[in-house]
Amino acid sequence: MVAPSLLDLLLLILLGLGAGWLGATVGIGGGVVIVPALVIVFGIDIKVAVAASLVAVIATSTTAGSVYLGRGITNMRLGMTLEIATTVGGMTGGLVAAFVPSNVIAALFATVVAISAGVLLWHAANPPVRTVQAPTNGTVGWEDPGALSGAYFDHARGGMVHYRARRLGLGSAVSLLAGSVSGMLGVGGGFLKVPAMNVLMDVPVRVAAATSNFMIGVTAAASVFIYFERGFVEPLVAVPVALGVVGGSLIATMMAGTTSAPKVKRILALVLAAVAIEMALRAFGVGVGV
Amino acid sequence: MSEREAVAGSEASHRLIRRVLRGGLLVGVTLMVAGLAIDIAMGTSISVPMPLASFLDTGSIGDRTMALGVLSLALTPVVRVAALVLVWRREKDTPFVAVGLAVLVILVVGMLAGRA
Repeated sequence: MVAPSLLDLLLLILLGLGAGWLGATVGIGGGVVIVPALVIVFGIDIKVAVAASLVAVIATSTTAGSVYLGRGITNMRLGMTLEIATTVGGMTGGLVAAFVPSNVIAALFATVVAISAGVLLWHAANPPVRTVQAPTNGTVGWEDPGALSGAYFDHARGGMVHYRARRLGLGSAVSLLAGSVSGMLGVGGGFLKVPAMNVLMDVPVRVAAATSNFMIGVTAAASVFIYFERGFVEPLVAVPVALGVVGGSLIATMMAGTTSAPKVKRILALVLAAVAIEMALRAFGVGVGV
Repeated sequence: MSEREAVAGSEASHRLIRRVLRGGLLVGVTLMVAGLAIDIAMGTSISVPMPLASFLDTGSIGDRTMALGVLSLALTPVVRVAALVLVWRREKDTPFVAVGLAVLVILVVGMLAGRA
């Protein structure tokens, strides 16, 4: 049970706004920010924080998903196929989480946050080539019926790039892991799925990112009902954060391209490194507090 | 199937799913804003755990409205999967109808698993 003041509610909305903006701007879902902030700053139980974060993940996926779908880059068939693995993982993670001690969850979270910081630093050093111009027929991409393939417009090469997903087994194995992490820790798991789709399955990174965002809502839905049923969804925590996330994602979509993404990623990586250390200390019972 | 047909089919299904996502988001956000406003107006500041099976009988009116909003938002991805199954059935894309149905079954098992 929590009793947030009006100021707390405002701060929770601001937390959601920041997390939603970051998620849509730098491509790391809000979960890695939301869970530690709720635990460290607001002193909320980690399972209530994970439940609130899962609701926020669905809000991010739904808000940004409707924007990405309009751009035609998402491959819904590829997303749905990998969702078989992520939903099984999400459900299992959600069921197991109830029996795992909070300090073990905090330790796992510290690991995930540290990996996210590493992925962000790598991204900052290797910025993706951005597509800024659509081809003449008005679409920047499509998916082929009956297959895990499609095409998208690549500005750097000045034409449509056709792709076909390969190694579905390997991609599904990583998706199963990503789903379990999502269900147990309340994160989207994009930091696992996007590299897996790109490197292992030969899917272009822009298609992989849009498809991963599309998938995380369904993955989170597989476990959020378990948290809901067990009483971990506290409306006065989950709702202000979710509303903030919707606003933050929309703001990020509107101001896309105006932020120096590599700089934001480096700053966020530093923050996440500090968060990972704090969560690890908490896991071992020596939280330094804020 | 020609490239033009693939683009047209792809755009039509993306448009439909976009509508589903926007609709779910609108309903969920409206209920969440309304519930939060009710709680603030009535001075309710204690949030209680609301198990899925009994949330309509638990907590303040604001909390129940917010829980309904969270539930609507959480159901949006489930509705999105069901809508895609119907879209692919119309397109006679049988393998992906089966994939979508499998995801739907897992999601329903997940909902029921919470009660176990």
